[in-house]
Amino acid sequence: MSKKRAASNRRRNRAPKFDFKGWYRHHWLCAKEAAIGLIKQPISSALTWLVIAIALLLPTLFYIGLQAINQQTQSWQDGGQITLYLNDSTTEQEGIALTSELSERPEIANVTYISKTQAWASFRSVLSLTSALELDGNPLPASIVIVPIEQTMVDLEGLILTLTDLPDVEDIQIDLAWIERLNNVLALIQSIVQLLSLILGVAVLLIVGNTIRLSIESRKAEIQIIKLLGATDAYVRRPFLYLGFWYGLSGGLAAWLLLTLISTNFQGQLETFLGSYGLTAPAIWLTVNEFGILLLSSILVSLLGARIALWRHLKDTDPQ
Amino acid sequence: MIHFDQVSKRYEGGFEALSSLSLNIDKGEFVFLTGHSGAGKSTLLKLITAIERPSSGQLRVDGIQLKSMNRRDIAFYRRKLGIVHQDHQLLMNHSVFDNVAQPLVVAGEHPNDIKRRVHAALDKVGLLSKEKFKPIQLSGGEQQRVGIARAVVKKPDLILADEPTGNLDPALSRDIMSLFAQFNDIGTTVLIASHDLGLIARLNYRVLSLKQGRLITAPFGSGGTHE
Repeated sequence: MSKKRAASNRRRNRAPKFDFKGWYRHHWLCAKEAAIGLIKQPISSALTWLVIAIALLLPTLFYIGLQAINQQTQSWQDGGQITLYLNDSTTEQEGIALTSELSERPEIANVTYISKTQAWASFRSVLSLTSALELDGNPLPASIVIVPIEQTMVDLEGLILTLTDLPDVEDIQIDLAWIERLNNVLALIQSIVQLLSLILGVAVLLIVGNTIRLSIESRKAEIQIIKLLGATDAYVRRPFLYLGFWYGLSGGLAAWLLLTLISTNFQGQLETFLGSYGLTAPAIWLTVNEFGILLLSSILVSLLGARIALWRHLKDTDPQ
Repeated sequence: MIHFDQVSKRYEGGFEALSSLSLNIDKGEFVFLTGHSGAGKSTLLKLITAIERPSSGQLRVDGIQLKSMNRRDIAFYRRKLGIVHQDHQLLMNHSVFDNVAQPLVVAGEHPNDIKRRVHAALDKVGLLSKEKFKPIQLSGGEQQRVGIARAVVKKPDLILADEPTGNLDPALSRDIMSLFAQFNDIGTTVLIASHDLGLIARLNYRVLSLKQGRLITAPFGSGGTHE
């Protein structure tokens, strides 16, 4: 019965054929009027843009910093190594044989054999010894330096056990802990940056949502009137969604502008500072792609904020 | 055109604004709705405009079952109506022209058509010279006429008016009524809620009288019962 009635309703109350030109015209009109509305209230609009821009700028700066740290530490990653000190009784041939045997293992990237003579030469050159220190023979052991592929202790547990058990090995020195700590710190920083970005993204959502909510409240009477004149929900929502779109776009652009300001003022200083530690400073800048992502996410988050505000505040214009 | 079948409307708290109301208004009819305030006139109009839904009973307008409409259906249904509100319901920060144009803009009409039709409607209510004014700059009677122009600009199938002559002087009231009559002549159904018994009496149309949510008389073609 009710199904039949619904069908008959649809037949009698059919929506007019979709009028693309009218639809396009209204989009254009809404976009234009929303933009004009924002420009007509420059101070309150600019304040909103600035708030959005700051909320976007912080994660952007974190991102640039994190990129720089990752790049810097990439070159340190290979520094992790394991040194095997061989027994004094092991001959050079045995040492070289062991080295080539180890190089076959898949988890090892690079193996170098350092003979007693080489170790002594290196020791002397580092300490600039001439003949002040005369010893009976060479006290230094031969050693094998291993650079493993995996750089964390957990991954290397098996390898280290095998190496310790080798009969020729007197002592083993594992120089990996600092890399592991570095990686842990980096992972922690990355998580914090992601969390902060999420929080600040929600902040943008709330800022735009609240601004749109105020706009809806101030135009509630108007909304009720045009709904009585036959406006669909989509029609009612459109101006507010465009308002959200403009907030997102201009907020994103303002964030980029702030970044430019920071870059022109601090890039030189940063280079001097990091240069004194022998480090290269990152460019406080975004690539075209990154800039696109910044704008797009700003717009999407703002649209979402507007949509949520509309969803919450258009319900009470329904028939009771 | 309008069919009420045992329609009741109860509000929260138990107040019953309409009690098992049944009535029939044919296509092309001109009907007055009278009754004291609180008799249910406004509720009846709110049900027809789908601002409120009936608590029970069947209500069909132009063959459409109003109870089972969704939000989108309601929007398209309302485009067939021309509604004149007692409190005008104008967009206060838009010009007279924009106010009258609104039903056409909502329906996505072409700007050139809109301009022509809005001018025709404003001409009919005698406000063509004030199209650029804001409603706040107009008198109560002029605002009412803007509301009327907006209701008729789309040549609706059904005109609903709640006290359309409430703020107008007698001469203007007659003009407005004859405007509604002109639309009625070309087949538009007209339903007017009014207190103005003198005016109703002068015009020989059907009168529906409501009292405490019930219909007390519905004679056809009589001059009304309150003379």
